[in-house]
Amino acid sequence: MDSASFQFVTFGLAVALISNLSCSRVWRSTVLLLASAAFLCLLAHNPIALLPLAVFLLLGYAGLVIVERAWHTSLACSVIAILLSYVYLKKYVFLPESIFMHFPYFTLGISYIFFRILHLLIESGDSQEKSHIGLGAYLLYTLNFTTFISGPIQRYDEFARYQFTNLPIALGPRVIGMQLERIVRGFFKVNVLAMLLDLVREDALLQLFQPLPLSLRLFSALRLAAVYPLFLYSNFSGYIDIVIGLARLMRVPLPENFDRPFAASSVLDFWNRWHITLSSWFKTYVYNPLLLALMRRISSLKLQPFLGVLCFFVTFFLVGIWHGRTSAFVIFGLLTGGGISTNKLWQLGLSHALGRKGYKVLARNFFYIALGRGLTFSWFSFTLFWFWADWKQIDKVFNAFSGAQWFGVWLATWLCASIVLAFWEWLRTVLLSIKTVDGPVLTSRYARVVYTSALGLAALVMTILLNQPAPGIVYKAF
Amino acid sequence: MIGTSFTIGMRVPREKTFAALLPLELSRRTGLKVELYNEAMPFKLPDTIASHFNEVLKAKPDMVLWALNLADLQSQRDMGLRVSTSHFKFWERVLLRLRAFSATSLSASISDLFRHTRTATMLFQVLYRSQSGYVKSVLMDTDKAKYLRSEQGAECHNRLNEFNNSVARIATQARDADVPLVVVLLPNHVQSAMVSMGEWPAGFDPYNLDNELRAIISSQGGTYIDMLTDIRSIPNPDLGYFPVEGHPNARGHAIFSKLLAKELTNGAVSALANARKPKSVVGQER
Repeated sequence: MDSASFQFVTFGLAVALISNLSCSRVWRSTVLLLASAAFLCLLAHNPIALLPLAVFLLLGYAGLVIVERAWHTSLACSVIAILLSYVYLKKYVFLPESIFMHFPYFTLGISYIFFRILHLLIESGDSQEKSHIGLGAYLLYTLNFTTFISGPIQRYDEFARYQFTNLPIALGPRVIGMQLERIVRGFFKVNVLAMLLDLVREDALLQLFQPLPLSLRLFSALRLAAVYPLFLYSNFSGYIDIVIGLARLMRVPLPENFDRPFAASSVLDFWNRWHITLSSWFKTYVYNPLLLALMRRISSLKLQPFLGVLCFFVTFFLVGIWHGRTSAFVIFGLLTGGGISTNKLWQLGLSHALGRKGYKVLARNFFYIALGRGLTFSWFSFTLFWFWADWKQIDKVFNAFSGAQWFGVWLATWLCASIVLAFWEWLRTVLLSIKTVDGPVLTSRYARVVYTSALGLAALVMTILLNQPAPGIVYKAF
Repeated sequence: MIGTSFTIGMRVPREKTFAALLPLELSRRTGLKVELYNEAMPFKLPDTIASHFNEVLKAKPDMVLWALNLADLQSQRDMGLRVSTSHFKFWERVLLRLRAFSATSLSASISDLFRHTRTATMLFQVLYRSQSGYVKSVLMDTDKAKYLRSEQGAECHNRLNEFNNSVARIATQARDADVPLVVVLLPNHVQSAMVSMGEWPAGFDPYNLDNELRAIISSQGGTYIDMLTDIRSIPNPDLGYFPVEGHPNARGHAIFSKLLAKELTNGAVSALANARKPKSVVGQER
């Protein structure tokens, strides 16, 4: 049930069906609350394991109530309390092992609950008009089963607008068809595409250490670097497709989390397209306040562009280290923050050297875009080594070749990604340019029915054939 | 040499089977003239082989090599269902299918029906190219993976006891005829893949069966030789099998021949170990 399994989809569809028996906000909210509670029970098996999560939620609600009444004195305290509780429950490795609770307890989805609680606390503290959020609404928002495991991180006002209304958004046959299509596509991505890509990655990793000729092992390293971002995208975006589809069938639109990330021609652009709700959260609650605070203190016009660079580094360093509890994620954070701030510096440097107009001309150049896309992909793929591997694996992988050989693998990844992604974008443009009076043939109703049926059939066949569960949703671990 | 389908070289041209390659390799290594008579019988259980062993001894061999594979330890019922249905009439086959269908869950039955279609076979050809994917898939199959578990269940123990009885019958006859009996387990596709990967999920151990067989053979006075450890040094040994039906292909037979010759001349069999080694082979081994 904890991944994009057939059982999860069936459960979600059943809840959507029951939820649509009435448009009443009370009915829809009761169904969602009961479904979310049932979902939690199915995941946790043992009620005792849910106790720490319940305490965390109650702490968040207590903080919210206090902030609603007197924010100046209590917002900082509430945020710190939630942050410390989160770090404690997640058992960050920099804390001594002895202080942790030594029984198995449930932490699935806690990161996303953490973001939602912080969002509620900060917005409640900032808001001029103090509107009270009841315990039921709070639980519904934080435990909503469609966003529980891996997001997307939805703002409370958006959730409340669609959930707590007696006039929910329309759900006609066309919308239902589109959502079912999206669910099938997501199911295919997670259970077929991601599974196959994961097999390629595992084989490549194994072949690095097998008695094979150097050229074959270098090719394995190239596959290892290139395949993981594609796997992660299929795995995560497939799951997001499913939950967005299910939530829309329950008349609650969720925010998009991906926008063709590998089409990004720079690291800055990439993070506007990858895990969008997470980067938006960090931009709203870390980047913007930090930049404002620094700009208030440093008034030099010459230095101001570099303040943005610093803020980008801090923000995306935090994005990186949020992903895990170990020191490997500190490196992941440094590389993520380093990549995005270097990209910003590069933009500033080029604008300075070529002038704004010259830089804009260069940024529209086909080869510049293609190489930028490849460089972004290769940078991301290599930072992900600190994402999927622990230190032991990292040590083993990097010791498989010399530094020069790894540099060659990275160059090859860059070049291959530039060519393949440029071809993909060209193909997409060509296919979308084939149009009828109703629009592109590729996105027509008939084409969608055909390929959705094909994907559904392929997913069914592969699930039967491979006789193994698809890899779990990677982001549920965070 | 005795054995079953692996030993007879099913689906591989005769001159490319390890039965054809092994004597050449042994002769090259020892300088002796080695002749091999392949008395393997496909799809026969150890018990049947034991019943016909007197016919093998009539050829007055200097040594008997019994090349086993994991499928030889299947139960009589499994072998019966898998082999003899093709000789049944249509309605008998339908009846058998229906019986099997009623004995398992609906989803498992549908899955089983689909897995035997040509489309499935074609897709397996592609999917089983992935070493880790193949291993995962087989280990999910409780029947195929039962001998690869670290802790073998009661069914496996019963089968190993039956196997022990067959070995005892063969070993007694060999001892009486003063013919050394040498036994080897030819690794199957999944064992080779697991050993080559060097890691496997908790609860499984590709070496476990090897250890069990060694104990049985040694207790009956036979010589057991180990091929699994050497498989580790072979690049992609899993490519030595037909991906779907699992028998070794020509590449697999060549690997078996090399590894068997190495093990047979490394001291496990005194007659072959004491033979003069040509200088070229000695040089290669150094």
